[in-house]
Amino acid sequence: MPSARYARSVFINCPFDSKYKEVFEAVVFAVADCGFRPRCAQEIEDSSQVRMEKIFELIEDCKFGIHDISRTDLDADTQLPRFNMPFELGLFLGAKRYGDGEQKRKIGLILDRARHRYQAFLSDIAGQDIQDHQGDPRLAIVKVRNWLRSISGNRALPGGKTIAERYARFCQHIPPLCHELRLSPDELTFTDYVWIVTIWLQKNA
Amino acid sequence: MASPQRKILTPYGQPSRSLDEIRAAVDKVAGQFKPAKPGKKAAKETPDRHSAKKPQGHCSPSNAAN
Repeated sequence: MPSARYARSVFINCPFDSKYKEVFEAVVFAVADCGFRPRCAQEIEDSSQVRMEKIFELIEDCKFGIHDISRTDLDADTQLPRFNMPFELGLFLGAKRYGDGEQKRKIGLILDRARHRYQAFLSDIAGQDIQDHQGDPRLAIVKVRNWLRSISGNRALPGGKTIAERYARFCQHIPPLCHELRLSPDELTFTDYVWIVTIWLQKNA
Repeated sequence: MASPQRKILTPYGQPSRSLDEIRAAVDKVAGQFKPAKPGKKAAKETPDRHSAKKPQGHCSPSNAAN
């Protein structure tokens, strides 16, 4: 039997830059609202572990993975792309392919801005579950919710529109919440954000 | 409250504020957003983060990219 921890954990492999922030936070919110536990490499900032070791451990701990490969743009300063998301997607697929027992039952969702864009830069992933969010947080919520509904078989999950409406309400609460907690919205760590989402959902959803 | 079939799971890691403090803040802010009673002047709402002013990233500079 898989541990409850493994069976309800979702590894979120996404860009962390400010341009992607709205989609990232919407995805985290949707995962939590569907009754799963969002995990991501930003947890590493709060620990003393070596980054690569922490990523291995995160992937091993999560049955599910959401991989956003939309960030193909060149960095404005370096004129180079970021390879971390495709790299971590490869680690996830490798764990599924070569891992033992429960690792083989991993399930991933790949997100991009447009449905077939990956064919131009990562054609090896053809045949995986690839969905588009068009850079729209509401659409990302719907895609993540529908995927979690499909893989969990849980008919009690709220609809994507309901989650998106809840997320919009939560976004209104964030500035005063941060004020109450003496935190700046720009400086919220992933751990703080997920705890605030969780407690807000427990009281408001 | 959340549906019993959809338990909201607690995350790992320690937040920078105590859970009691976060719960109290969530309750207080929820109270501020309750709809005004008929005949009373509506409370001024905090601007929507997704409205005209573009929100800033939550990520600290060290977390700024993946």
